[in-house]
Amino acid sequence: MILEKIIIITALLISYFLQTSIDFFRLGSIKPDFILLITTYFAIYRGEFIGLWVGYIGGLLLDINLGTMASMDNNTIRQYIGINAIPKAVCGYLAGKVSRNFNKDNTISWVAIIFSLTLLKGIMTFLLTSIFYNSMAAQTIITVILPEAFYTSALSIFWFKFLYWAIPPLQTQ
Amino acid sequence: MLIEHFSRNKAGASLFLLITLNLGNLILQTRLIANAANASTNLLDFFSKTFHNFGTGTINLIDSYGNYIQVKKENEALTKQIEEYQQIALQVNALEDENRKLRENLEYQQKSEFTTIPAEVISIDPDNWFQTIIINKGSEDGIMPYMPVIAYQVSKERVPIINEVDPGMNAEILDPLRKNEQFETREVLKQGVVGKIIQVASHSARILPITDQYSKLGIKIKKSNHWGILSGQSQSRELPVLEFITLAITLEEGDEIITSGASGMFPPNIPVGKITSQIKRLATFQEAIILPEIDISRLTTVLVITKIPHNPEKDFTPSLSHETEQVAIQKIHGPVVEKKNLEENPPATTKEESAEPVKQKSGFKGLFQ
Repeated sequence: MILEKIIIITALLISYFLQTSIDFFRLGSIKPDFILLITTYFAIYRGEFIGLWVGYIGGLLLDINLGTMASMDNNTIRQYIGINAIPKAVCGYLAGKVSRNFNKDNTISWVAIIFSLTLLKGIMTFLLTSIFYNSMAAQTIITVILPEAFYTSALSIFWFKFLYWAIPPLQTQ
Repeated sequence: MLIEHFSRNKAGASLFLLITLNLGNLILQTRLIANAANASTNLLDFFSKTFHNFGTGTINLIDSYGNYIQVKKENEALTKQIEEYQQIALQVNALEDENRKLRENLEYQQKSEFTTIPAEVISIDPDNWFQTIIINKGSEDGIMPYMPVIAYQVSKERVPIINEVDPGMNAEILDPLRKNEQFETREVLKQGVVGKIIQVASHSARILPITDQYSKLGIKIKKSNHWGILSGQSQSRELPVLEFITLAITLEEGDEIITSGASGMFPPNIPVGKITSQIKRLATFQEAIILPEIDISRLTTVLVITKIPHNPEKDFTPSLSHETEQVAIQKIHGPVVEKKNLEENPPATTKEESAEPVKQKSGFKGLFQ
């Protein structure tokens, strides 16, 4: 049980560093969402409870990475906590729920799940940012959300196979 | 009943609690989670730095082997070039002497008020939504919030080919020659603004780049000295926009943009970028898209200018604890005299002199103490 937790935390931290410190996977201005990939993987093979918490902690790490910003004009502080954490937690939960009705070993199933979840995450982040911070251009849906969804789901074909090899599902261990 | 339902559906209950907690935090803008998150920043940045160094080291090792043969060829070619440049260096020395004498005559004073702290980028653009750059220097190295950040970067640029011209030729003869000048692509070392420090930990700091949607920078157009504001745009539009430029001047592609120094944050006359062909004339102002001098996506090292914003009327509230703030101030300005000590043992100076350190102390409040 403790080993399982260590594996999950290590996988999450490696995904976080791939997301924040490595620029190798950048295609134009778009990066794949490694945190969402690991969240979906754990949600599919370990259930929605694990998926939810992996997504939340991963999102929280990204929010911390974005930092807080003090406004010079009116002594206010702009914090990003929640902008990534909420969408990713919801995605982790939904991936776990939805995957029960799919064949987990079918590539098309998980690519479709990841494409839908990346879109959902993008739209939720767009709405949260627009409501709590600054209104964003609707163009963002075409220029950021869709390319990110296509790229992340395309990468998932290889990434899930790698994760399946590195962290096999519990029932096959 | 509710507890029973929650205990049966752990995941649903957790999701409900997490969403409620985070949305509540966002709506009320409490600092509860932000404080906890900031406490873990140091630890995360340490691991980020280690991971970055490991990755960079591995890539460098592979690159160095692959580049060996190419470097050998380049070395031979460069040796020949050095011989040519040695001749040029002699001419440059003569010109420098002449320049120095002319400057002395004009009583030109070269100003270099601020020192810089070099830092390495350890993380850039964590996601596709916001832009943040994390560097490996923090308050222990003398960095404070709102310090300006610049960088030098080598980039390819079209420059005119300089033909050997008789130094005796006057300007009238040179002009028609310049019209027919040819261009070549050369590597040029550029200096430019990167952004400003927005958050400081003991061994790391976060930069808000000028391309981020929350960035505003006071600039002026070099050719006419007209002021304007450079605003970052959303991630979907990568280049910043120059706003509030009067219609009285004609903006042209390639016009240089420099810092105005008016905000008290950036020193004046640092190159920011060049105007692109996207110039829009609005009813009362005009705006233009700017191509920054520094390509932030391939940034590896930066220079933090040790300049504290000079604007005593505004009460800045950066996220820096009092202890780390004092360490940073001492690194830049030397030991700071505490207000308490001043009251107990007033130094034998005038009131104006003794008030200075206290003003500095009150200017920066620690938010997360």
